Amino acid sequence: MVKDEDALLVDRFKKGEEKAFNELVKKYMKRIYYLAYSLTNNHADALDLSQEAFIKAYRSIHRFRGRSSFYTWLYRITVNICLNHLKREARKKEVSFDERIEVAQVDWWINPKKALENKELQENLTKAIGSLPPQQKAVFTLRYLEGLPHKEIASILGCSIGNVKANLFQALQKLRNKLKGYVEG
Amino acid sequence: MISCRKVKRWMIDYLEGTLAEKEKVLVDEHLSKCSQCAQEVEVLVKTQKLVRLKARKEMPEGFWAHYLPRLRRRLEEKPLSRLEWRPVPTLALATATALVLLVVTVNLFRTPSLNLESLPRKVLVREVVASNSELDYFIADSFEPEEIVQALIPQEMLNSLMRGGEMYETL
Repeated sequence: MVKDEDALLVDRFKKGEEKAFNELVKKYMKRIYYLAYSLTNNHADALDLSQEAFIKAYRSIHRFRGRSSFYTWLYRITVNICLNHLKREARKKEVSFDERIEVAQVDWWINPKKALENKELQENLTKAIGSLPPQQKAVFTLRYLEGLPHKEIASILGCSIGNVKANLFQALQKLRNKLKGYVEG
Repeated sequence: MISCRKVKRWMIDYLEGTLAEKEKVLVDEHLSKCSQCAQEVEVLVKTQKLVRLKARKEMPEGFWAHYLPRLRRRLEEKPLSRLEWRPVPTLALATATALVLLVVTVNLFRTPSLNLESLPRKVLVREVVASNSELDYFIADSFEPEEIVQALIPQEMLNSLMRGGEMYETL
């Protein structure tokens, strides 16, 4: 079987070649950083937590047996670190998940490009997604912002595909309620 | 006609286009007759489209130029804990083996429940190294020394050792 590029880099790193780890970081730093940012919505946290994920990967690479792809494994580490962070933060301050976002009517579906540039819409989307409970936020982010298939999300989060779908449905329903001004009427 | 509850159960697959054709026909049929579910689907489809519009603020190139050097600094600043692995297999093996020997030696004299004092040290060392197939144990520094001993020496062998080491008399 021909090994993919990541597997070869992992092998080289396991044999002590530090440069191979640098290559893996360069390849995935943007994806890991933006994943952490999508989950935390804070650039300082995203930088810190994404680097924590790489540090953890560096120190436990020997545990990576290649049963999943390297990037699925790295995503799993990142999501776990971010979820722990979100849970700690949630404990620090009680977050209300029922707050409804009041918005002016925007015909975003007529002109999605304009909607993309709409600052208020972006702020409300950020606020709505940010208010999801950690597990739903993780599933939602991996599916809608990262575009991963259900099976891969299940593998990253260590849950069943049915669980992923249930979390997605609940997340969508919550977002629909929060973004009522945009999607109803 | 299928129930509203069933439609909800299949909703995510329906919205994402991953529902099997046979079930999709049943949902479509239901939606053509149930205005409440049809409205729900319409709103969720809009929600799906809306959330996909979430833009990402791209970081400047300068940020990425510093990412790896910063990470390397952090790796150097944060020393490895005594049980963490270094990416040099021989060093990891040597460290782990030394650790086992240390733990086992200490426990020979402080764990009366295992009653290992009577064993010849050389024999014990040989057995620990031979049964050390899962070096991962040494990464998890949450284990108690007794647990490490239990984990590394198969129970059957441990029983034999505790019976007085007769099996080694012929060695």
